[in-house]
Amino acid sequence: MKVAVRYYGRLKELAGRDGREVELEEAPATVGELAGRLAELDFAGPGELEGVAYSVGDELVGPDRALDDGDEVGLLPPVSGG
Amino acid sequence: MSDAGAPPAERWITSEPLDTDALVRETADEGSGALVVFCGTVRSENRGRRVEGLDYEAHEELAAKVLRELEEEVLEAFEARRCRLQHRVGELELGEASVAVVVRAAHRDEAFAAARWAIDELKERIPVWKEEHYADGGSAHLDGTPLEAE
Repeated sequence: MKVAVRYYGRLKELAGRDGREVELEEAPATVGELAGRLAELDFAGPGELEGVAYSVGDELVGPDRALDDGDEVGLLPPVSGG
Repeated sequence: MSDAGAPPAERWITSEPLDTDALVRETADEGSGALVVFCGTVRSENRGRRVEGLDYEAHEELAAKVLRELEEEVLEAFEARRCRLQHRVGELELGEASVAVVVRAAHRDEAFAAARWAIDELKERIPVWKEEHYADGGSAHLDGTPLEAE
């Protein structure tokens, strides 16, 4: 199963990239498990993802959300709009 | 999954300069005696540093949905008769509007209260990120408010 991850705001700087495709072997995988993997792949550990929220498509989701093949997952750091 | 029947995100999130006149025309309502238009604009200074411009980035699909829902909530929670919200993305210069709130209600108390609530909620809930560019050459993403899943 493959999902597309996109980073926003300062996460792009921290990761040095806009996102990545991730192949997940074991099903079911959750958003939280994916984040754990990204913390190792693109960040200096889970500390850099503190306060980060997640989206799948146009929905804000919690870490327990199960992922489907082809999902677009957003990592959303604390927001500063307005 | 995105909602196939949803109106286009550009109705709420746009890279074009915000057109408050158009929002005022769009919300025209003879039953309203009060119209509040609020804009947030790019300020030249933040925390002691001289700002030259801003970049706003959004999760556009989700941000548009949040604004659409906020407009509905404003109409339900206040005695407001019309509400439109827009946020700009991309590069903004000093003085340009980054966000617009337009509320119409029968009377001014409801209109001001609804507009005030709308901008405060918007800042907590919209997936938008601001990067400031400084006169000294640096730039920074500002600390923000963590989003909460429902």
